[in-house]
Amino acid sequence: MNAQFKKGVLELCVLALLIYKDRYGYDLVNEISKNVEISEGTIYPLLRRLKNVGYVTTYLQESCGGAPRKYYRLTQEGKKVTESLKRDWFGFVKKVNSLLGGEVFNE
Amino acid sequence: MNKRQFLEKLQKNLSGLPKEEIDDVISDFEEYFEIGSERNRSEEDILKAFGDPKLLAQQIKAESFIKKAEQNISSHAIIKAVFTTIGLSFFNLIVILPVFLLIVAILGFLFLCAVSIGAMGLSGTIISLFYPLYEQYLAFTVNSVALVFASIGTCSLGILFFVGDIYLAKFLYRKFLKYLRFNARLVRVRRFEDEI
Repeated sequence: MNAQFKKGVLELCVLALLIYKDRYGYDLVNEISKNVEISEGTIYPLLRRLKNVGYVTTYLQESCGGAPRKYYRLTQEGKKVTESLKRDWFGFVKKVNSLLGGEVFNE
Repeated sequence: MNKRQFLEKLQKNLSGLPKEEIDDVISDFEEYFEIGSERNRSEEDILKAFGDPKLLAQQIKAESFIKKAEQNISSHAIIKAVFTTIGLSFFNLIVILPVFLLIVAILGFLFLCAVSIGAMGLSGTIISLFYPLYEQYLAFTVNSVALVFASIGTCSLGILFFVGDIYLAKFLYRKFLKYLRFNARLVRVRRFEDEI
């Protein structure tokens, strides 16, 4: 898959993963990289940006045995934005799919 | 490069940010290394996945300066944000600098207009108030009351224009910061492609 395309989707993946539960940076990268190959370092500039625009907040929580971890949580605004981005995404995919399907039929 | 060198390089390239913010970034990356090693990932593996610390630091800095410029309107803050974002790539120089200079030029011109109109009205007001003093030297007569009102009107127009300019400047300032943030992200996309 095109790297540029994947990169644009990375933000959506991060937001979507946070809908179900709060996560820390490593966890997010781990979940995403199960399906999509990503450049791990860029998760932090991305998370800082999401925090600055008010889509996520952070808090520290003790882990079992280790040092405290920084968890990211979606704000109300973040939830709204995520839902709208997801709708956009599904709408887009549906259109592209029907286009691709149509191409097959024409052959 | 090992973990210590990576963190040192990151810290060095973050200079210019407040100390708490630098510490916060460093602790984020330390946390990542720590969890990685808990899950039996080698340091080299994580370092490879992180990429260039200088580039990461620049991205974080650009984002931080944009945030600061958003929080309080200041020419110093926006100039820092502009130059850090431009520093990310040559592409940004092309898409950001002309837009920035154009906005500055337009606002400069509009403020100059407002001040000129205001000054014209003000001097007109003063001149018309002293009309009785030099009336005898003029070859023509003027309705001094009308002149006073016209001058005060012009002066008010200048002030109104000026207030309008301030609103426009604030509006453009916010829009431009959004544009900056959008471009700081685009670069990441481009650089990422280079990394692969």
